[in-house]
Amino acid sequence: MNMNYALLLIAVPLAVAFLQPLFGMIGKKITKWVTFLTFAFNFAYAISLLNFVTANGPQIAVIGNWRPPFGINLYLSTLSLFLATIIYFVGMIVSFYFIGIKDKKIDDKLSLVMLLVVGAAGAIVMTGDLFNMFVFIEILSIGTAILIASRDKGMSYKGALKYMIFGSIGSAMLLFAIGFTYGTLGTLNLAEIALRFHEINPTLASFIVLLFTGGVFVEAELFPFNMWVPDSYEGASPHINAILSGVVSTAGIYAIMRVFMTVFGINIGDKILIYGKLNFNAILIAIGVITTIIGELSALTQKDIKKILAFSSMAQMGVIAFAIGIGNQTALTGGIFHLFNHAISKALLFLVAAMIIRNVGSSNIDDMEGFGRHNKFLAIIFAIGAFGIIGIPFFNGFWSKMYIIDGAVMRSTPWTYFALSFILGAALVEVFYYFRIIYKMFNDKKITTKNRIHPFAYISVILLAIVVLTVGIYPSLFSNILNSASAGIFDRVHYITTVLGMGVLR
Amino acid sequence: MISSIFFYSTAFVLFLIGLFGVLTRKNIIKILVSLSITETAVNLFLVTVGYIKNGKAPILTNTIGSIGMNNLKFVDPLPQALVLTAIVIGLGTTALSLVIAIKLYKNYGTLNITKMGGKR
Amino acid sequence: MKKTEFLTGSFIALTLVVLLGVFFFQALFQPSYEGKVMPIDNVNLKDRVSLHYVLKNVNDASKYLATNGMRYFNNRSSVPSKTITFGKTKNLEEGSANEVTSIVVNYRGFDTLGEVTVLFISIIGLTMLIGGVKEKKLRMPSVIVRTGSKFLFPFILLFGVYIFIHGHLTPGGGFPGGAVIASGFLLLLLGLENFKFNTTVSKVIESLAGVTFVGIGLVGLFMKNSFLANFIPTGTIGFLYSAGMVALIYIVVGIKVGAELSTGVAELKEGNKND
Repeated sequence: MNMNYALLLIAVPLAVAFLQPLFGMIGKKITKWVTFLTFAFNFAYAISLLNFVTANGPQIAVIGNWRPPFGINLYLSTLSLFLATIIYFVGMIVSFYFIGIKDKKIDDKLSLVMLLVVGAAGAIVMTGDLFNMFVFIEILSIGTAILIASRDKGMSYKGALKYMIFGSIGSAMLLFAIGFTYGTLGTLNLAEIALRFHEINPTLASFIVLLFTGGVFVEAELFPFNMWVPDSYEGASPHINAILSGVVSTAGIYAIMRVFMTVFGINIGDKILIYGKLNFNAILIAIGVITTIIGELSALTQKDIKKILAFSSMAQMGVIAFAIGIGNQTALTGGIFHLFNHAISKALLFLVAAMIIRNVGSSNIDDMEGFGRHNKFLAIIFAIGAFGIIGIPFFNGFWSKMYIIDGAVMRSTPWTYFALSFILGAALVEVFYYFRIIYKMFNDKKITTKNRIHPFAYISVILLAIVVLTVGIYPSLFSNILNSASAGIFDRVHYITTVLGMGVLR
Repeated sequence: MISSIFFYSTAFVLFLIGLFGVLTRKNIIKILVSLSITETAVNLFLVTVGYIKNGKAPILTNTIGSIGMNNLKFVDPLPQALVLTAIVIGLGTTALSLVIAIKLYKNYGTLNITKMGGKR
Repeated sequence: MKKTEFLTGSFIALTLVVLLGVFFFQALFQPSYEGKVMPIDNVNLKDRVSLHYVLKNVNDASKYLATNGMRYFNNRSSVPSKTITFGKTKNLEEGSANEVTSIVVNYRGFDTLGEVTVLFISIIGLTMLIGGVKEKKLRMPSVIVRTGSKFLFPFILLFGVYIFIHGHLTPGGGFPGGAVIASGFLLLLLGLENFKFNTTVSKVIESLAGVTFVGIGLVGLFMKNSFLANFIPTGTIGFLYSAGMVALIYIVVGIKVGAELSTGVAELKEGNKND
């Protein structure tokens, strides 16, 4: 199998996106179908690559025939392709849902932007070059701002502007980090930086890591940079929120995992510590705990279903950051698994929420009282998604959270237990507010509904619900892939030798 | 001869000024101006990273003649390439944020972010 | 109440900024113990990967790295290289006299594809969101402005084309060239009262140029087995017909950026009535 053809995963969405204005002149429906078909192609191709890579070990794809570290390369590991598959899957489902909603004037451009956002997220998880990652993060953040603003309400513009401001500050910090890295090491290739990062003065290294944090924490919805989350999620259309939480934050978390662990990290014993004078592992744990607590407590006070789901999404990102901070392989496996579960369940929840909001005409959960009596099917699907996120036994979130707890217990320092207790306490809060929504839905109350729902919408949520249930019942379905993915983060030497050749060890 | 310490510091101080502006200003246009300042700061920083004493512009011309391992006369071209990309990205971001600012003014009738209350 | 709120906000922001600044200066000037620090006044091209971009010996460097391993990183300048003479040296791996162009388009061409996409997506967002903003009537321009802009327009266009065709030889390239072309259209939009910019045509041109860029990359993938690989002979350095696909890509980028920015400017002025 020629790995250089993996570039098609990035080139095809870009080419189709450039052609979209021409399709848009023919008809708006066509652009939506084209977007869906592109994602379907990418999804299928990513799965075939994933199978190959899981069997044969990580591969690289070279761009322009310039070998790394001189040119830009793609790094195709199990983790990259697994996350790419999730991203394309969520994109595919959301674009399928998108076909079903009534055509609006801007829909041709919207499907174009959707294509670019998902394509860029796919590129972020595969690229092996620091500056290239920055460029695709920019495409992602500009596209996301457009998607948020596309609802054409005052609120949505406010959300989009907030996101733009955070994104711009973040990208400036990221560029500073890139400048410092290039100035000291003279390279931009992630593998070469990983090989030589410990040569940097520890104070400067800490500063680089700190600056890098700014760039990727915006997308990953982590604590100091997540003030945009409530406004943007409230302002955007709910099916756009499915992309925000399923695609954008997945890409952000990948950047944190790859760069913090593989590139900035050093293996010590059974865990990876992030290099520098400051103890970034402890900082990540603290940030994870703070994000989770803020997210869960804020979700508890909200009445708007989009905001509740947004804060919950933030909280899950905190849990994953906690797992990364723990830094051993079990916790990382759990983190990656939780990322998958979160992307699928949140996409499901947001799409169902979109249908309910269309049906009820309001996003306030008080107005949804009695919806479960009226439309049992949708309410049950919502409950499935919610159970998946909470981690009710025999739903998908349960298994990933177990992995994370297991990893945290293996660290067995008093501070980890202390942090873990906060995470578990926050999980209880989560149970409370999700059950409140479900309870409200099944309350006995007459409700009037409008707007028929397109069958495509039903098909997309049923597909997602099937995935949630399957993973919950057979959690070992992915265990092979998950172990290989977390081992890929953990085995830094393998990453370096795969990209730069076996010779660098000499 | 000015040391590159001066340029590094200027770039970072400019960045901090921009950051301070974003954090404290209430007017959207002023916030966007502050963001532009941070972008400029980053570009200055990157160019400084690539600066080599007595280096020429990295273009091979008749007057420069030839270049080899023993007579490297150029400044580092890679940061300049990065700055080129960063400028274009900055342009895109600024254009989009200004359009969003126009639409916000249409919707709320003000550019002050604290006065944009209520659902509209 | 308002005043104190503002003061506390400013104080917190100031503290944050000062803390970051202190950290910066500590990281830059007080290296506590061993390790590489930012170079100050002693930057050497031989410590950096761009050495091979300047000397155009990336393929040699890859071979050297494969055989010598870690020794390469300690001494990048031991890679064999030859002297490049303007107007004489032929068949280099990359034939662009402008080193920045050779990095932007060839060695790191994938970044440029992303960069073009950033511009594309932001202009799309601009045209999408600007809808509904009405055109503002401008004052009728004077005779001098009208005649002058009509007279200057073809020259501005020609200059833009010149810039992006010579992108591999002189300062400039696709992005500045495109910007110059867009400035020509901006002049017409401001100078002539009844000038109608046809956004449909410009959008078609933009799309086709973008697809051509990806298409050139795909031709490289199918012919040379790597995306964006050069498949055209590189010629003699310093000549107009040199640098292989660099010139081709910069022409495409120039047309694309010109069409894109012109569309953006026109949409901003006319307020997007036609769709």
